[in-house]
Amino acid sequence: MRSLLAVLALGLSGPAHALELWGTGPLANASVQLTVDSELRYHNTALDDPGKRISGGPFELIPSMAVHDYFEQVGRFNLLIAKDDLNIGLQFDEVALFSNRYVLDGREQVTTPLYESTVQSPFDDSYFLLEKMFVSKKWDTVELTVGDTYASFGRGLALNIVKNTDIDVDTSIRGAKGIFRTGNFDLTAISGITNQQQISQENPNVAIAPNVDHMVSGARAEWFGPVNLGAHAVAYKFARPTELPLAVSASRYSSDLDVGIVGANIEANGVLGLDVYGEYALYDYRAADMADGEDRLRGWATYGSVAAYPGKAVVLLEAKASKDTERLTTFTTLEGWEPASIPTLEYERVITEDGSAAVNSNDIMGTRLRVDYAIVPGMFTPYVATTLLIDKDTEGLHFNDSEETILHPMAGLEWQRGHWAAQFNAGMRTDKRKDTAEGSDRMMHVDGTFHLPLFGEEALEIDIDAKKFEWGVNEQQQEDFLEMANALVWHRGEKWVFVLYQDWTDNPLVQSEGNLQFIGENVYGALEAQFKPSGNITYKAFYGAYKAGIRCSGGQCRSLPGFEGARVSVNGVF
Amino acid sequence: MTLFTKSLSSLILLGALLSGGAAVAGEPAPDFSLRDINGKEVSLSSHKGKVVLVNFWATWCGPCKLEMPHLDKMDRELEAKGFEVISISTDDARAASKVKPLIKRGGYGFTVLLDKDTSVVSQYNPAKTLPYNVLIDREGNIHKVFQGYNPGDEVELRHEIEALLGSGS
Repeated sequence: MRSLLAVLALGLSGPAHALELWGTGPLANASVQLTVDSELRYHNTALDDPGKRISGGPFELIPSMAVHDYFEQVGRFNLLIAKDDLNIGLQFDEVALFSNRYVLDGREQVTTPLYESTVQSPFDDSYFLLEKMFVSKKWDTVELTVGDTYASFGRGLALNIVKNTDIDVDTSIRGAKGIFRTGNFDLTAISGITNQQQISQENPNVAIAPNVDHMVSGARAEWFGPVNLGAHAVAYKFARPTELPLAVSASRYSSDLDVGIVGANIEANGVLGLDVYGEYALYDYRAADMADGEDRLRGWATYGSVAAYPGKAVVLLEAKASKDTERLTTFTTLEGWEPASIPTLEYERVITEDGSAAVNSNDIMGTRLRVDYAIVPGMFTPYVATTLLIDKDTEGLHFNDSEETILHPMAGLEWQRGHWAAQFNAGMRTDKRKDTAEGSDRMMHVDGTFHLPLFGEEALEIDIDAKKFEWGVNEQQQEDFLEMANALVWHRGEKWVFVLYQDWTDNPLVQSEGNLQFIGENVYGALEAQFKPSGNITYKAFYGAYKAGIRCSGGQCRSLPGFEGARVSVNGVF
Repeated sequence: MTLFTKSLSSLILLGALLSGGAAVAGEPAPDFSLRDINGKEVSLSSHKGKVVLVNFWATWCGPCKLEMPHLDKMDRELEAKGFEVISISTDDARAASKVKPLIKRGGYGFTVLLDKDTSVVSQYNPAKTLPYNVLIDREGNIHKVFQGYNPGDEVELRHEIEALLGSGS
């Protein structure tokens, strides 16, 4: 609670006063930066009930709101204190629900439970958490971090636990990380227990689950010279769903390891005009529930890339192959994050339903070629790209029950002149099954952003995103569908932005309903106003709805819920 | 107790909403060391004495790519006056092979660092808003923070940089 009050005091008073908190102690004259993300949401559920609402506190301002409607207030406060080579960071998250209770037949009912019964909180409908904390100190050749930290080795085949706010995923490693850096040599060592973000900033908080403690330890050595060389080893011990949610973290260190991974990479820049990278990783599964019932199972993965720069062209060729690597995510997939994975080689923006085929697989190989031609460097660059993947994994969550060959050609351009700009991508992906009787899945997609200056400081921005799916025959047989997410943006000077959002989907698996039923049952619409009084703070007000769907970023995919209602938010750096 | 905590939540929101205007200006910029796209170690503190724009971006970020030609132009034109752009890719490791080709095709000459484990962006910009620019004066203090980019925003950014270069601070 003391930390809460300190953060509250900073939020209300600003850094000039905050500095005085440190007095003349060791942190005197320290730099203090506070980042605030706070939002109030009104969830319009369109569900009513003959029950009677219970007074929900200061935000209950709409007397006629439906019983199942509720308010959610969520806040995130990041405090960074820096002095010389010392950094101290704290992330404080809080969420509270209002008007989520009612009385029916004399008994109190909860419409939206904030957290699961296994979560320990002294409060019924609010949850406070010191989500992240770290202290880092840098000396001449050594940097040491204690607390929450992140780590990524090579291209992420063995370890890639990083902040991925694009899909509201932030799992850190709570422990210690040391980097020894001298000249051309880096040595990194890390060990700790995973700390998954529990309070979502972008998505509704419902039935928050307790953190699950998985152990991660690893070390990596790198040498940077004419050729860069790296070698690493990582060990994992995962918690099982049958274990007590609050099992002692230390026990992860005393029990047998689940997985050990060793890997190495080589990188050569500018050799014969080429940039070349190659990496190999060997996975050793030692737990029967990760090794298909066997005592031990081996997996492997390799990834490589070659970049060439002939004239105005830039050519990037990537290739990968892996076997039994996705077993690593056995116990974290349901938590919505992955400790490591191989580069997808896919245009992740268009992965929705059948994302698993190209993003996660236990038996996949493929390549991607992209050629950019900079007609005017930085100003006008069209490109073409093609991905070819062969996915032999027919188990798990995949939609394919026979081997698939995935071909995904696409093209696009980036152009700007003055304040005019266009970014455009389009392509078609075909997932062709080996058993031709099952046919092929096809997806055509187009997305783009167009900036159109009007007059003075006025400008329009048009964002389009459409995907058309045509399905072959498979166990999850479903109807063809179309998804769209478009926006019309009016930039009014530097301070004001007004956005009209329009979504559309007739995907039978999407768990949301359009709010503009008078236009069509699959139509979603929303309005947003943004006010930026200065570069460091943005206020937003949103009213309407957007659709649910799967979103992928950095090799991780997450099913994000839809939303209908209103939200006001502030994001600032102080 | 529940009413107390809910009221506290409301107060936090209210405090956040009303606390606008107090920028981080004047605070010393936290130091960091990262490897560039060729493996060379670069630290912020080694640029003390220059006006520095630390630019956080990612290969998948459309507005970031629109902003880059303008940053490159400022980097080249104002270099002699003591200005430098330090660009930090926040792409995670899996996209690291895409960073240098993007820089090459734009012909950009500014310094490009890789923050593959998101350790620096987590300190400067925990919400990972992109693009995100931190303008740092010659003494190593943060002068101003700029979140996001729309075509035309570079005018104000350049104005701020030139004012800082001209002020002698």
